[in-house]
Amino acid sequence: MNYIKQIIYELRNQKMMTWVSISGTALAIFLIMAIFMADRLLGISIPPDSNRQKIMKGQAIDFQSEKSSGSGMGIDYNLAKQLYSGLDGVKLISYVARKWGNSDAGSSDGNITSVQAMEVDDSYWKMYDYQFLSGKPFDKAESESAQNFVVITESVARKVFGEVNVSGRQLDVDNIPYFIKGVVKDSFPLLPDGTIEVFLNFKSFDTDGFGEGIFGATNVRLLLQDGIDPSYIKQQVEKRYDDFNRSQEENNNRLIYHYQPYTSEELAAGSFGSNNDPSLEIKTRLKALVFALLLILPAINLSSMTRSRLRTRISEIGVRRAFGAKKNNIIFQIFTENLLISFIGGIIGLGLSLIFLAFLSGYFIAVNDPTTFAAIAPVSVRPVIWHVFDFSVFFIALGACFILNILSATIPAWKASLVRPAIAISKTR
Amino acid sequence: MEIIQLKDVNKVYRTKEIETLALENVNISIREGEFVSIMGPSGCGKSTLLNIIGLLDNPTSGSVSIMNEETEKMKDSELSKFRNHNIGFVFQSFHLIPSLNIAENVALPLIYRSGVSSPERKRKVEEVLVKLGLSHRMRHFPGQLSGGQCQRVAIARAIVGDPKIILADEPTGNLDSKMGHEVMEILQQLNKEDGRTIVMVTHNDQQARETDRIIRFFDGRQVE
Repeated sequence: MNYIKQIIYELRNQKMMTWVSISGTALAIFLIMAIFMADRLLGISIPPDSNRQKIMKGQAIDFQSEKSSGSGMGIDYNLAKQLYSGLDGVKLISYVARKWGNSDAGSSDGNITSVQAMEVDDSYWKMYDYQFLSGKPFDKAESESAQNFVVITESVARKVFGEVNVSGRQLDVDNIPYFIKGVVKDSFPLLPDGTIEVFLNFKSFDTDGFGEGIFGATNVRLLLQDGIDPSYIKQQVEKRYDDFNRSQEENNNRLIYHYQPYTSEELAAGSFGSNNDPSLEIKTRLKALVFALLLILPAINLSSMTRSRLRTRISEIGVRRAFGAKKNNIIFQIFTENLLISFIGGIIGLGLSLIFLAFLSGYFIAVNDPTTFAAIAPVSVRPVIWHVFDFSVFFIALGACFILNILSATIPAWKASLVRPAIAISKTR
Repeated sequence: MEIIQLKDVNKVYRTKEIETLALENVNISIREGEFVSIMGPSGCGKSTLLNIIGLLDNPTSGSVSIMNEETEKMKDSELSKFRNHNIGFVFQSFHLIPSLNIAENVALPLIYRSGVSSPERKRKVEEVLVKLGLSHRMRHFPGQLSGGQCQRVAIARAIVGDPKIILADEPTGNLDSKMGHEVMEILQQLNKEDGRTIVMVTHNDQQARETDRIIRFFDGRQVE
């Protein structure tokens, strides 16, 4: 209780110093939490990507032969099947093909709009929990038929038709007519498929020899059974690579295995490529470095502030020592008071970071097309705060405050405890 | 019985350039229940002596025995505990903690004493504040009190832990004569009625004459 009184007293009597300390802490916590929450947004599991943590993706290929070698973010459909179908521990497999660049979508008598399109099979709709506002997804028979079916998002339906009840109508995508099977609610743009607005039935079975049976447009999504370790899946896929390479030994063709399929964590880290191994280590190190800098730099400033605030209280420390306070009591008191200041700053910083995420993050969080890596603009990112804020975020902020306190108060507290009582008392206020 | 004994105490303050002898070969014995005043010109070592008796500072050489305990080999934490139980301090400029109210200031020695429950602490604080006529000021802050009242609060803080020794460093130095007189009366009462040993540094001859014994200092040496 007395610690709180001391803080209130300092807020009244050492306004400048105390508010600078609180503001410094608030700024540090704001930056840490903004980075943490933005990072968290990139790995978020919300509908329609509720299974995100259990979905692995095979989407790149690295090929070497006598004639040519190369790598790319798309696999020939048959090769994809050869490498990924029938794996043990996989509940569901889905084949998708991202369309390069934007497509034009419109009705024969309506508006035309530029959209992001992707071909998906019927399993896709079982793997992801899209909310259908009208109609339904295409089934297996429809997916595999020669006819063209499409599911579109609410915003495309409104742009093109001015309403969402458009199932059964025709949508032209790049001048090819598609039968609209259903309309789904728009997704959060930071989800991996969050920018896809038009879902065509999968047709990229044949690459017309373009990719030598290796490269293509197909990506594979694997929904793992509960409790299956992703490394178990990777081991099986690696064996498939080995089998393929053995079968191609005569032709000197070789696929280079890069630890596919990727986990959601590896994809969110963005550290994968068609010709390199995914690595979480670099991102983890970078994150640790950024967090360390964000803690240490303000801690140095806060440490000076704490020392300045304590300088005016040196005689009080002497009096406390005279009446029986041990060095530990003084250290504990300074730590506790500083921790309270850190918490006040932490709460302000956390509030600022939530405001930042709710209203400003759209200006800072880049959304890239995972196929082309091109920035998709303009995308309005307005994350719902509860997507990223839960008790773990609160505890991270609390932990950051605590570390900041330790870093900023240790030296001042230790120095204050070493002051000889007689000297301390003789210092006039 | 001797409650405070200083034998051959020297105190030297050293800096890179200069060495200052603050106390030179001081030998003092103070009996239990005695009220002793220490006098001398400014800078003669009175406060240094009081700090050494109060275990707030170490002598450069010599021995300090308080209540038959040799103090020079005590660890810092043992000195803190010893001060907490046996010595109360009254300072010229009161040294009340401005962020704490009167009751909390008075309770300070008990906060650092293990085994004192919160209700017991509250009771003891109320008891001493009633004794010093300050019970109506318990929730006030030092800034709301007069100098005389502040010094009474400081005395309450010094005696709340029931120490045998009270060390007062110019307790009336910042007070007008009326308030100074009041404070002296309280100290006399604590000495005569409660039997506490009091060592007081003062510049005031009149007040010194009211004590049992005067020890005079000049240039770090005991001259009388």
